[in-house]
Order: sequence, then structure tokens, then C-alpha cells
Amino acid sequence: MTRPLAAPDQVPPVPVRGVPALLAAVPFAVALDIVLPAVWGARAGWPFVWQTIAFMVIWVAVGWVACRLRPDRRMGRLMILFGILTGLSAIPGFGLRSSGLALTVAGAIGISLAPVEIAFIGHLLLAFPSGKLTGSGSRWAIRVGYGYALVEAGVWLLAFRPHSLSCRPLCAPDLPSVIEDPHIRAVLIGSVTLGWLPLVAWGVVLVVRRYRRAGRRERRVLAVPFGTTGAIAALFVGLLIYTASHRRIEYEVGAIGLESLRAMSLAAVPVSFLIGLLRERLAYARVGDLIRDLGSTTEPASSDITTALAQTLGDPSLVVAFPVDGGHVDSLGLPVTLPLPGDPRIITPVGDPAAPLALFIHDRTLRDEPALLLAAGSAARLALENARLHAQVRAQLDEVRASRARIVAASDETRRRLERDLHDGAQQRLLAVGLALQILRRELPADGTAPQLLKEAETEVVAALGELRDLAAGIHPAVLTDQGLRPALLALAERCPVGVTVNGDDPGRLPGQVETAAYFCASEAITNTVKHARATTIEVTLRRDVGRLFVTVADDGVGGASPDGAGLRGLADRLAAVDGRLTVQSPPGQGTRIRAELPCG
Amino acid sequence: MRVLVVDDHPGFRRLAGLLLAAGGYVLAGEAADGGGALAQAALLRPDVVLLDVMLPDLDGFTVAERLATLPARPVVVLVSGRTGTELGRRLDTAPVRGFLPKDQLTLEAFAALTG
Repeated sequence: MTRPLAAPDQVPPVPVRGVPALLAAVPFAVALDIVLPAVWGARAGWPFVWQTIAFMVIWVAVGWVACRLRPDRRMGRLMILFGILTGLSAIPGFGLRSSGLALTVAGAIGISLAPVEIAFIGHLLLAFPSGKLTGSGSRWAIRVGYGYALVEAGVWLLAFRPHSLSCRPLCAPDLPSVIEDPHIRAVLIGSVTLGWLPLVAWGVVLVVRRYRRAGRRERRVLAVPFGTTGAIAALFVGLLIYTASHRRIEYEVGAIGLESLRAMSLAAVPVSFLIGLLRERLAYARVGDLIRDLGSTTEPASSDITTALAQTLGDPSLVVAFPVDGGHVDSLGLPVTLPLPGDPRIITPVGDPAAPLALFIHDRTLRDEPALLLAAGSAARLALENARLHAQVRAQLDEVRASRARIVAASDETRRRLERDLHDGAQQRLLAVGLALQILRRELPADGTAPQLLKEAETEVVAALGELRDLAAGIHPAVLTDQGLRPALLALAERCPVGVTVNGDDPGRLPGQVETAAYFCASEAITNTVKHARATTIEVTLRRDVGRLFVTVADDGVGGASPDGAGLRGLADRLAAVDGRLTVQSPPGQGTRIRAELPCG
Repeated sequence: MRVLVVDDHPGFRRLAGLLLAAGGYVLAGEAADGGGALAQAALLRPDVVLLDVMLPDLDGFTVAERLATLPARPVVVLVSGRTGTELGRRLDTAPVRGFLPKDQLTLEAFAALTG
């Protein structure tokens, strides 16, 4: 394998920017989460702090893995950013025991970031696994989501004042109280929380639509993260409704529920995202299986390669097409129509794009996996090369077969026309001459030499007509065209100097090329026998079995005919042109038995 | 005896007519195809129809079968450029007096069949 394989995009993947900077920010976020409660004390307790840090680290770790898997994708960066976000937004929940400007700022940032998380989760889901939002619908939804998150953050900053003593579940930053009435505050917080309902519903619709439109291989990647997030989202919606309906007195209960739900989702969702990414990554692992599978058999059947590649690429619709003269064939040598623009399938060439070794015709979503296509193509290259040769040979063989059949058919047709011309032309003229001679003879007096000569001329004409008829029948017997194989063989038997019997049932009318091949086979065998075998009887037997015609010519001659002699070789070739076979038994001294077997539909 | 000659070769029709005339037969008419033969036979009511097997429209056997249904059913003698074997079994069942290969069409043979 010296030639490089062509990937659809030869450009090496460009790593997304900003990942190192984000990673560098992680220690600061962690430090903030530790230093703040360490210095001022946390009413929420250290377990909550460690939990928060753990979630942040999990998301960052998953994001880092995603960046390692696909440095060119934004997914990992999004995940790391989300991790940092969770670490910062949890700070008000620590319940720091003091106040002051620094804590106020930290708390304000935390409270502002908390609503953003909801929109961020939607962003992660809709962009998974590539990290890019596709379609204006999802881009708009995410914009609106972030916008609403900012509105909610504002409302919380203005209206959220926890019980001053317990400071549970969150401690508000020490901000001036704008809204004094606790009722109005509660209504505001409840309403703004309820406002997420239509937005989340919109997100759900987009996510469901995305899943439904995904091909089989894409669904494999989406299933776990979508399923997990979907389950948590359902709980979230339930809790929102609960919070809203009990806003008067128990919004704090709802807030506690939200907090624990957030904790749950923070644990489960990154893991599910990681599973999804790993599943996608599994396809690359299957390339290894592909190499092993293709290597374990010395000559895998061409169709197995397609199956193996379909498995590796996770695309059951995969077709491997090989370029041949004037088109493309599949691994069985059958013609393949390439997908036109607008078809859900697309083409990736394997090998030199100008003269590809093969074409993968595959699901559109595989376009996002040029490296996988490249790897699979490389792994299967040798096998593909073999398969292409097989396919080419098969296609050529089919073409040769077809052209041989066409040549034979054309030659049959020429013979038929020649016979027709002899019959309509020379034969008719000679017949006219014969009749004219006869009339002339009658009009002359019976004595003298002229009538005698005319009589002789008549005899000559009759003899010439006989020879002409034999010649025409040898070229192509009209009786074969008009009445079929058995009558033609009977007519042949009548002309033969050796006694020929025709046995077996009349097979009825068969396709013209089968009748012609069978007739000439029998005729040639009889001619050979007459010439070489010194036989006294020849027996022709016809038998028609399911879809096959058997013509046997047996004689009681000297035997010893060689199947490789020019005569029998020609017969075998003639039969092969109609996919027939010739068997010769000719032990010396025991006669010759020639059997032709022809498919007859 | 009045004879209708049916053949698609005009040369053959003319010479066969001349031959039959030389033998004392009356040439009732000629036809170049099966349809013409049936029309002429119904119109002219010949005693004998000298009928070629290979005709452009109907074949001689079919024409013979239809001639056999005419009220004045003529004697039919089939002729052909092919041999009897080549024509096969239909010859055995055809409602005709006899068959002559064209190269064996002589007044004697014709008389022997129609006499």
C-alpha cells in the first residue's frame, strides 16, 4: 500500500481555539470553590462544596476527553465551559457566612449564571456530538434560551432574598432591596421560573425532531445522552409545575428540588455524553475488527467486504461500487446507479479521487466522519482491490458471454437469410427451368435426339435442385425454423446415408438459439460419425427435463473420438454460447456417445 | 378438368399453367396468396387446386382446410419447394389429395393424383 488513500477532506483537522485557556481557568474555579467556604465558612456544609467541585471536574474531564477524541470539534470546549459554569453558579448555594463586596460579586455572578445552565444544556444536546448547531431552528432556540436566562438572572438578582437566618438553599448577595414585598418577590420568581416551560418544550421538540431525522448510525450516538437528558428534563418540568403551583409558601421546597435535580443531572448527563462519544468512537475500534476479519480469510467473498464495511461504518445501506468501463458495478458485477444530487446517500471515493479504486455510497451523516471513512477504506484496501478485480472480471465475463451469444445469434440469422435467399432465388429459377424443359419436350415430336437431350437436362435440373436443397438445409434447415427440432432432425435423418433413428418425445418449440444449437450439435455429431466412425446405426435421443434439453447422439462405430479434436471442440464452443455443455464418451471399439445439455427456460 | 394455380411466384404460376395446358387441362385461374385462392375458388369453382404450401399470408395447409368447407369442394394437390419430410406431420392430416415436391411436378404425377 504505497499510494495514499484519499479522504473526502484532505485538510488536516484544525483544533478549536481556546481550549488550553479554558483548561487553565479550571484550577482558578476550583480554587474559588475551596477558598471561599474555607475563609468564610459554608452553611451548606463541605459535602455540598466537594459535590460541586466533583461535578465541575467531571464535566471538564469529559470535555477534555472529547477534545482529545476530536480536536476539530467544539463539543469538548462546550463541555469544559459548562463545567466551569456549574462550579461558579453553585457559589451562592454554599451559604457563605459573611458578606462583603467580594462575596456579593461572587454571589451575584453565581445567581446570574444559574439560569444560563438550562439554556446551556439545550445547547449541548442540540449540538451533540459535533458541537455545531445545525439548522436555523436550533440556532434561534438557543439564542432565545440564553436571552431568557439573562432576563431570569435579572429577576432573581432583584427579587430573590432568602430567609436571612437560615440562608437556605441559597444565600443572596448583599444587594440593596429593590422590592420589599415578599409576595411580589415570590410571584416574580415563580413566573420567571414558569417561563421556562414553553422554552423547554421548544427544545424538546427540536431534540425529538433531530433524533427522528437521524440515520441509524447517528441514533446510536445520540440515544444515551438524549435518553438520559430526556428523563431528567421530564422530572424538571414536573418540578417546575410543582414550584409554580406552590409559589405562595413553598417555593423554597421547589428550589431545593431544583437543586437536587441539578445535582442528579450534573452527574448523569456528562456520563451519558461520554457514553455517546465513546459509542461514536467505537466505530473506529471496529476498523480494527475489519482488518482482522478481512485478514483472517485469504480470499473473502466480495459481498462479505460490503457487509463488513457496512458494519464498521454503522451504515447498513452502504454500497461499494467499482468503476468499470462505461459505468459502475457492485461486488457481484451488477450495474450500480450512482446517487444523484438530492439523494440521501452520498459518495466517497476510495483511493485516487481522479481514478478511485472503489466508491462508498453511504448515509449522509458519515460525511462528518471523513477520518472513519478513510480508516475503513485503508483497512479494506487490499480486499477492495481484490473485490474490484473480481467485479471487473465478472462484468467482463458477462459482457463476453453476451457478445458471444450475440455473435452466434447474428451468425444464425445470416444462415437463415442465406437459406431463404437460396430457396427464393436459385431454387425457384431452377424449378422454372425444369418446368420449361418439360413443356418444351412435350411440344417437340417424340422422335429425334432433342427430346432425349431435354429429358437429360430435366434430370440434371432435378439433381441440381436436390443438391441445392441439401446445401440450403446444411446452411440452415427451414424446417427447423418452421416446425422445430424434432421434425428438423427427422428430415436430417432422412438425408443421412447411415441409418439414423430419432427417439424421445418431441420437446415442442424452444427458443430459436436453443433449437439451432441443439440441431447443429446433433447434425455435426452425425456428420462426424458418418465420416470417421464406420457406424451402421446412429441413435438420436431427445429429452426435455425441468428447464433443460438433452440431445444424445450415440453410434455403434469405432469410438476413440477425442473431445479436444477440432470438431468436438467446436461443438462445445457452440453449446457454451447458449450456456450449454457437451459430454463425450468414446472408448475405443465401443462406439461414441455425445450428449449436449442446454438450458431451455 | 379446370385447374386453379396458387403460388406466390408468378414465374411458377405461368409455367405450371403452360404445362397443365399442354396436358389438356383448362386453366381456370391463378392466385398469388391464400386469400386470393379462397376467393377465386369460391368464384370459379375449379375441379382441382394446385396449391403451394408457402404463401405470404395463409399457409397452404390452412387454405386447404378452408377449401374443404366449400360447397363445391375442389380436389387439392399441394406443391412445395421443400420435401415431404421437411413439411412434417401436417401433411398427413391435411385434407388434400396428394403432395408433390415442385421438382417432381410432372404431368404424369399430376394426372396420377387427380385422375
